[in-house]
Amino acid sequence: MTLTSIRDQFPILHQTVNGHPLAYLDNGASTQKPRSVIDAIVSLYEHDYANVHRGIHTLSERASALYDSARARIASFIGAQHAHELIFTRGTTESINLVASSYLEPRLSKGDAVVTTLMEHHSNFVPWQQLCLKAGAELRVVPILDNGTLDIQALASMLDSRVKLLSVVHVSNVLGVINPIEQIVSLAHRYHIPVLVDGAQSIAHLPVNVVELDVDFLAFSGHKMYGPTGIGGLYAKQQYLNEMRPYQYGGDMIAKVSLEESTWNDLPYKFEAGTPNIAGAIGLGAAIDFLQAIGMEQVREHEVELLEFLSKQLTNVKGLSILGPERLHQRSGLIAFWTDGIHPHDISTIADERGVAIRAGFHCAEPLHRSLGLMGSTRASLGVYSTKAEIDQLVGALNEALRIFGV
Amino acid sequence: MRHSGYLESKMTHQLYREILIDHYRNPRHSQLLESPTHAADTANRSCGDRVQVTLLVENSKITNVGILTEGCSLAVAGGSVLAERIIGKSLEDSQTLNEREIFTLLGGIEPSASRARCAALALEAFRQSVRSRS
Repeated sequence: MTLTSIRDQFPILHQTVNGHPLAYLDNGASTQKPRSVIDAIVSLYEHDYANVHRGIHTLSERASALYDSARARIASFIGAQHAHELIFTRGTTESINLVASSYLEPRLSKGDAVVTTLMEHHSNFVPWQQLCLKAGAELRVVPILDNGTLDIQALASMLDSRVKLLSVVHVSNVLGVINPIEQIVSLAHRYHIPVLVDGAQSIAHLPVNVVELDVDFLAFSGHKMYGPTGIGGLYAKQQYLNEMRPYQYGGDMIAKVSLEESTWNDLPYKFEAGTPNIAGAIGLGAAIDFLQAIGMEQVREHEVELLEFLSKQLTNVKGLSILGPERLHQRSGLIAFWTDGIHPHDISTIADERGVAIRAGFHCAEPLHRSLGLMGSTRASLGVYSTKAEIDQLVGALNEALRIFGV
Repeated sequence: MRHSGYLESKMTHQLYREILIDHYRNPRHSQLLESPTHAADTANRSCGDRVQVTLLVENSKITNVGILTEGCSLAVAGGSVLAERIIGKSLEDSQTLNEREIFTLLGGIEPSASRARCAALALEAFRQSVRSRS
């Protein structure tokens, strides 16, 4: 598929912002939606919508079939062996909180430990921090090396039989670094420590296979993979899902209810109380089809080519410092940077004046920024539709910012 | 271009005027007072910007001001024009100050909603300092 034909599938990209062609380089925060995802949602509501798994009527059966098919396609996309190992959630944050509440909380006691890293998004840090505070457990935070990669030696030294879970991001939303998940999982499994991987920044950018990586939990968001907002997933190995207590109680998650007690429904419904996000799941199914039509190897190839260009162009901008590893094969398609004398918000505003959408601030990773002595950074993040022209537009805006601020 | 945006976002070309950049690079009255009668320390949780305000109020008049801002150009310049505006004025006069006046003092800027908060952060800190005597 050519870049032009991919871009043509995204209606939102073809507009001007502040008199300039839109250059959308904020894909780390959220991606735009292809026509097929928009159409899947519209078509559901126009033709096939009803509640799922309830009505003995045609529309309910149609909606249920679409919903179940979406789950099966998403599960297969991440290489899960069973569709019921994929739980629909609101997104990465809820997926992580589900594991915190249903898996870890009942198993975490005083004197136990949880391992996470300094490069986590708040959503993969605060749940563990709060659970450890509540249980009197120890939160062990793996540091990063000067080259912007995870300190694997330190990580290995933090593992022992007291550790009840290791939770790590696949791709850092600030450093762009791809963590060596296979190596981390094999270290953790020596102590029978389950591993949760935050796949929010990797799932739409790299091939991700839960069986090959042997991860125990994978959390991800639909809206960062060309799907709708408000839908995401938690993959968990069946054995864990069977052992875990329900997350919320209500309709659909029960098998039998009497006045005295209740029993739980089968997987995955045990973890999906209430009417689910039907349209969101079906939209996400369409997003998976869109990604698979391109192929994840091609997605990665395109982003690597652009990453090389972005990196080269940013290196040429005077006074800019780039966060994360220099070796690009260790990186996914995003670069955060900073410069003395111009606040990230000012850079972002000047970029917006020229039609360029980028992100500024802590990117929900305040401990990481503070450890680097930064009050924030500016981030450009790529997607399947990103172009070199957009990167040139960004670089033009950065040079303009330097001129305005006389840096 | 197939079509332009349904809601063309507001043009902000005039945001970074000379006066704003000047106040950012040389913030006025940015030395915190050692013995203030009023003080406040306010942060914008969404971006980490921080403003510290110290006032010396004698007979209901603001006789000295120190406003120290760590943040973006709008936050720093917003603190600087505020300091110039309130020094020598009565507490009562200064309490009628609003965001719009800060935007006017910054050269008549029309910031977006998210950036308006930056420009008004010092004003928020000033109001807090007036309420809490140190």
